[in-house]
Amino acid sequence: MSDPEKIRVKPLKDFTDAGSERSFTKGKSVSISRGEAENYAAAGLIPPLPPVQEAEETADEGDATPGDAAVA
Amino acid sequence: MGSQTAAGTTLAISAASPATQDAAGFNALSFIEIGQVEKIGAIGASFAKVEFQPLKGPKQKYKGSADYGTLQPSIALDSADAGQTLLQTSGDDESQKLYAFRVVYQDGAKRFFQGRTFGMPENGDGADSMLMATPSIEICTKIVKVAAA
Repeated sequence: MSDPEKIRVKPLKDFTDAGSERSFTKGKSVSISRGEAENYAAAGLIPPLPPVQEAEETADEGDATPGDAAVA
Repeated sequence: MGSQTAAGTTLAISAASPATQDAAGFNALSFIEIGQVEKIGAIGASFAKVEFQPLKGPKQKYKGSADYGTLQPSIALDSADAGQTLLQTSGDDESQKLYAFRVVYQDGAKRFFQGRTFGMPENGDGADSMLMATPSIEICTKIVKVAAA
């Protein structure tokens, strides 16, 4: 079962996070918190995120993981 | 904890804004740590000095407007570092958007504030030196100090 607080994103480039010491690979889907995703999106490292309400509605539509719409 | 060295101090940035200008507001944010920081620089407010010299008596000095200061860290450039990328984004941002910053000292004490990055010049100093960046982060809000737990 997926963590509702996490969303799946696909990085637009390879990058690392000095705090968590995680490495991200371009195009490889990863699960991260929305707070992390908002910062990565602001930095242009992942695609822009949909508004929170829109993401929740997307999740209600079917079996898609929350946030999938952001990287489709 | 008493005195401590600067080793282990971290600088982090967030694109989000705190709901309140206090520890709870900033602690609720998600930050990205900025990698490869060599020095953080001075953090703290200073006040303009207002002076008046009466004809009779000593010079009088008053505290004027507060300036929360400028953070000028020294960073070894790493194009793959997420924190540096967001810091560069804040420097390129032509709007008046405020970014949130967090400094964590070795003992866990924290300093929070919001600011605008007025530039992130790169500096190639010589063959035997790292390619560095020296951003200027103008601190625009009162610095929130959180003691070590």
